[in-house]
Amino acid sequence: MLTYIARRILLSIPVLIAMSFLVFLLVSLSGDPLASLKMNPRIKESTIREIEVRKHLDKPVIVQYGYWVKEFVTNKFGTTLLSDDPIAPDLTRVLGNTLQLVVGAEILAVLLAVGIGIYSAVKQYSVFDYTATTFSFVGFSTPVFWLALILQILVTNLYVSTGFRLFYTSGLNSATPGNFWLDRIQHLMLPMIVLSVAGIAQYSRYMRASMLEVVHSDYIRTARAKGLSERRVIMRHAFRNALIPLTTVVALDFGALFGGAIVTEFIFSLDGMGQYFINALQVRDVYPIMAWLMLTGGMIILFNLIADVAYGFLDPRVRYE
Amino acid sequence: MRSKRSYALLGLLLALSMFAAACASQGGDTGNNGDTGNAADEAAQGGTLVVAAEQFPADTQCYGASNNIAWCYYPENAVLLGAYRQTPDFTYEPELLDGEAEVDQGPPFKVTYHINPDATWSDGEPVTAQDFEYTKEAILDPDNEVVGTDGYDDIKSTKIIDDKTYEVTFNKVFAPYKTLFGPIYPAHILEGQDWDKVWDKCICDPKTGDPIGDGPFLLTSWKKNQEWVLERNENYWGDHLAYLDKMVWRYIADVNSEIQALRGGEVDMIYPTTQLTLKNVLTMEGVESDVEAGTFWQHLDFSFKNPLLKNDWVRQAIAYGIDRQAIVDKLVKPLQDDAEPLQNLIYVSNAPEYEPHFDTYNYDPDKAAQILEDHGCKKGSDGIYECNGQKLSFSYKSTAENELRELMYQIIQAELKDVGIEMRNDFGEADVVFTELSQHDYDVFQFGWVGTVDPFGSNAIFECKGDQNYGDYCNQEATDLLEKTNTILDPTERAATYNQADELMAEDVPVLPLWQAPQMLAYSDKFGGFVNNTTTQGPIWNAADIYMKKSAQ
Repeated sequence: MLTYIARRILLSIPVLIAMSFLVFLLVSLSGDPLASLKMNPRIKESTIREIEVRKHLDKPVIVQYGYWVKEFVTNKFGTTLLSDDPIAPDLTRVLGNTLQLVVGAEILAVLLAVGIGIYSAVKQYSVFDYTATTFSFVGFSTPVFWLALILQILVTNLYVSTGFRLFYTSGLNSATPGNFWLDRIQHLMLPMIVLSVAGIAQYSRYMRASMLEVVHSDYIRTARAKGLSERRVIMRHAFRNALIPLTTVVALDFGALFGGAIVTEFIFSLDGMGQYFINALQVRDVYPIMAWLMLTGGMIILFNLIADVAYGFLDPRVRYE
Repeated sequence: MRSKRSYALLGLLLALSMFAAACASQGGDTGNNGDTGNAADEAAQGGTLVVAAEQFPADTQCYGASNNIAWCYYPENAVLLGAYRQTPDFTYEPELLDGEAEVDQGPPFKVTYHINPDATWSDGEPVTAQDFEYTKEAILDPDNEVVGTDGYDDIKSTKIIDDKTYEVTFNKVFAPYKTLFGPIYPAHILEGQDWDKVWDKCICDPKTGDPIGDGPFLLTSWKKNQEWVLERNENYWGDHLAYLDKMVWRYIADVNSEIQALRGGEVDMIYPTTQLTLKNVLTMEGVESDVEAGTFWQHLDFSFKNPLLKNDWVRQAIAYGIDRQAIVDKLVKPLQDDAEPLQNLIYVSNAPEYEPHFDTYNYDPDKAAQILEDHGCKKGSDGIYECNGQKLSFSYKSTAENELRELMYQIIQAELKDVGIEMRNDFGEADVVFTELSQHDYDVFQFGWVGTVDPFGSNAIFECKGDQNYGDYCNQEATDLLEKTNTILDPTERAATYNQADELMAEDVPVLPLWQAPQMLAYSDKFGGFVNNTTTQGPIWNAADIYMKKSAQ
């Protein structure tokens, strides 16, 4: 197992290097990051020249990439192009905020999806099953921005008509929060719901399919024949095995979510990874883009590995060579 | 054994949750156009105003080259005062000064600033001529990355006459001298510090971390991409201390989210970018709103590189072929019922100097067609004119995903097609099309300029070879007039000269002004004292006068 993990980690290094080079090349060639400054007649040419020299923009892209690698490795992700601010504090901050959002959304999605999936499978072709199926497809096809705006309006309507503040519609905290964590949960709940809707739709379908496969297997029939209660058969024997495919999907999704949820974070004004990436992209600042990419790419690779390891961990039939 | 593994996975998720919380807690601490209610009767002392801020700066050094956004200056203007401030009626009034600056036409041209004797910093130190000198030095220091040095470059020498008197001698007459010395920096705090970095997350004394300022509020907390917290400066030297205890500027980037936040009481004031959905705010219960013509004005920019567009009769035909009044009626009046098309390239309609020189171009498609036919143009089988063997067909550039610009294009394209002029949609991403603009690579470009109280920025746009003259327009007579305005000190004569230049440009139509974007100021009716100031001074230009009503406490 350890050999397998070590080999996977070693293999991921060239992937990260190739990915970083390709993205650095594409972002660098997509336009002049100093274009907006150059368009502003009030900006001194010496200021622009100083940035060019400081960030080696006057050198070929391959040389710029070399300087970036050096900065990245020796100076905690390096500094931004225009203001020369260190990247690490900003990235740490937005990562923290994004994690709060996506971990909450994933927990919400998994818990609900597992429940819905199991019950749909156990009560196959029931009203509940058909209803859950219908809502899964609705969940899949609902645009995130639309759902976000509708939820904002509904929650505001509730507040306006009753004076009761269930959730907030933007930001991470109130200007004058009473209980910090309660206030934070009230702020994060709407974006969590928005993010989890697609997850619930997807995971509940996986869970239902997996559960149906398991409950029709021989060993479940044997368990029932032994006289075990239905609850014990489902929860003890079927549920755990049915969880295996879902674990893989959740782990893979989770890695991707580190990159942030761009639309959701924008609408709810959350200072997260997605917003950070978009802001950097808008000003074509290749350095924070690269830092974001390395972190997100690293997490996707890590969670792919975790998914594979978890699969073998949960299913003894899987062996690593 | 299996259950332990399941718990381990759950544990991993919980651990990540806790890590997330830890990361977050480490992060970034660091005219009558408004409410003129009787403040003395209804103003309460205290209260917190929550403002929705549409943009957030990278740091708190607003005059830094990489950080030049209006939403940085708006809160900063309540903390750091300037020699002058811009008022809602588009004039300058002394802010830190004790009356108008003394001007000696010379030569050499000299301006003497008399600083208000009461002006003090929040730490009790007086605001002095040394602060003005430090500000000038900081802006001209080549090691500092500042937004611009216009005007400061023309300073020949300075003299600290006494603590409260500062004399500046210029190389030449610099008529827009009131635009200089915007925020004044505290020399006793910043001397010896790295100007680019010292106010990264605060406006404070870097040695103690205590906030510093000479305005009615102090910046007590700043969390990047989240909020500015401004608290009342208890040592403010102005007419009265601010009524409010605190102002919190919360970052809300999306206008629709701003509207819901105002409706739901999550914020108390919004100052949003123009969108048609804002008309819902006008009838919102518990919300007061005021919409004025903003300084951001839309126009069509014509490139003189195009062999057809370089002819003034083609540009005039286009001007007659566009029903600007209908565009305003359709796109602007739903928000601002007294909106009119903009008829001047130098002054926005709010300015007292405004004269409507472009009002000759009332919608007249027959006249547009007649002009073209008078110059030998013939209509082709597709209904589009050909002039000198070239089809009157132009690429029309603008920024994509902007609802108003898309609608405007559709109207203009349809109207000009009726005349016999084709406009081809060439919208693109903002950074792409603006790069093309800076490279003078376009036919017709629809975008916006920001009008200012002192219009000297217009010179760079309309003078021959001006830095921002992207269309390559050149009328030497207009250029001479524009250059002359830099040296005329008498405001009436200067405005008349600007208007003479504008009259010439109205004949040339290098740019067709369309309309000014309405600027809405909307706030909870629990608050008062707001006056919508659409200049770059911003919505809380009178921060000390804004109050919570006694009835709301």
